[in-house]
Amino acid sequence: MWFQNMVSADMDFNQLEAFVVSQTKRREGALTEGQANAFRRFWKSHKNKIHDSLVVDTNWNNSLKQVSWRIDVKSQSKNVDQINEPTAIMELQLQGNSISKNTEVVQFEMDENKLITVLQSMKDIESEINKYSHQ
Amino acid sequence: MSIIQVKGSGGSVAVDRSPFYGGRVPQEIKAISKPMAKIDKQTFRKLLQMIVSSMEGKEIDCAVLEELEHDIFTKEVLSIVYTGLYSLLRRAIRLPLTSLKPEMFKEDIKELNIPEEFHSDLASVIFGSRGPQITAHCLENRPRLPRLDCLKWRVDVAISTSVLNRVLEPSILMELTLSDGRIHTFEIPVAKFHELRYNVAFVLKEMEDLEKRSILKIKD
Repeated sequence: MWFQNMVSADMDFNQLEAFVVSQTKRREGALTEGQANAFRRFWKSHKNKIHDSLVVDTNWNNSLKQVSWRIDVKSQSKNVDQINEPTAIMELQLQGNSISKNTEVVQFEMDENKLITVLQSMKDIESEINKYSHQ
Repeated sequence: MSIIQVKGSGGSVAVDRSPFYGGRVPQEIKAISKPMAKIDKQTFRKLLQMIVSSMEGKEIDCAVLEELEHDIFTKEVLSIVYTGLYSLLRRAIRLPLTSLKPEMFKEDIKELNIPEEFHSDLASVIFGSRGPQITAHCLENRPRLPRLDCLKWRVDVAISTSVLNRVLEPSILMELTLSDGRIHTFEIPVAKFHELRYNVAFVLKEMEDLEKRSILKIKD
């Protein structure tokens, strides 16, 4: 029960301290000092892992697991003797949600212009993220 | 083009290069020399028009071939001429214009005993305004992986969930539309997004570096 409160409130260390102190002062079923210290140590080392794990559990879409890439220089084809242009081949590994765990592999090509466009989109995304990041 | 001496069927000798159709005349091209001697210019031009349309990726109507049929030109003979000319032009269009010059082309088709009155019409397909259209169609239809057509994104900030009262973490939802029509939607946590962005930037840099290296530019 205590643990559930700590997790759902995503307590920082000041909040945890206040919470633990209040629980040690309860008349019935109060925490002992040893238990309080155990909670403090546990929360200090596992808070972020627990938080991240619970965030992942509420992700119901496919999620990006791995990015691989390769650059090819197209030189010839059946109908064209010389092409000589580089192309980027991207491979994204997408994993299903925490229940299904199915992995899907997406492969596609991009030329230089498309890469520039995609990178610009990513710069836009980054500027949006920076507005909301509390780092 | 390889540097060899070729003696064609016409008896003349072309030094220092092999013909555009290769060292040995392909069977379907060899087969057109006799019927080409009998064909009239109007029939030839209609056939050529069909071939060019086909090479540009347009649908061609087989009824046009039937219209060209008469006593001398049965459907079979027309099919032989069509196939031979198609193969001939395909082989010529494949070479870059820096390698194949109009005079070389005419020289090579002369070796095949194609009447001279048709030379300029055949050359105009390769070196005229239709050439780039045919090449563009070839490039567009070569074997390749699907291309990325469209990238849509959305930044979501989760405020709270069924297990966490306070999350306040951004995540990115991406939708990729590929040229084969498939759509892939997936979520990216912030850390993974930075990895993806780094990879895209790195690929672009590598590609730009690659284009600067003259070793990759094939010169004739």
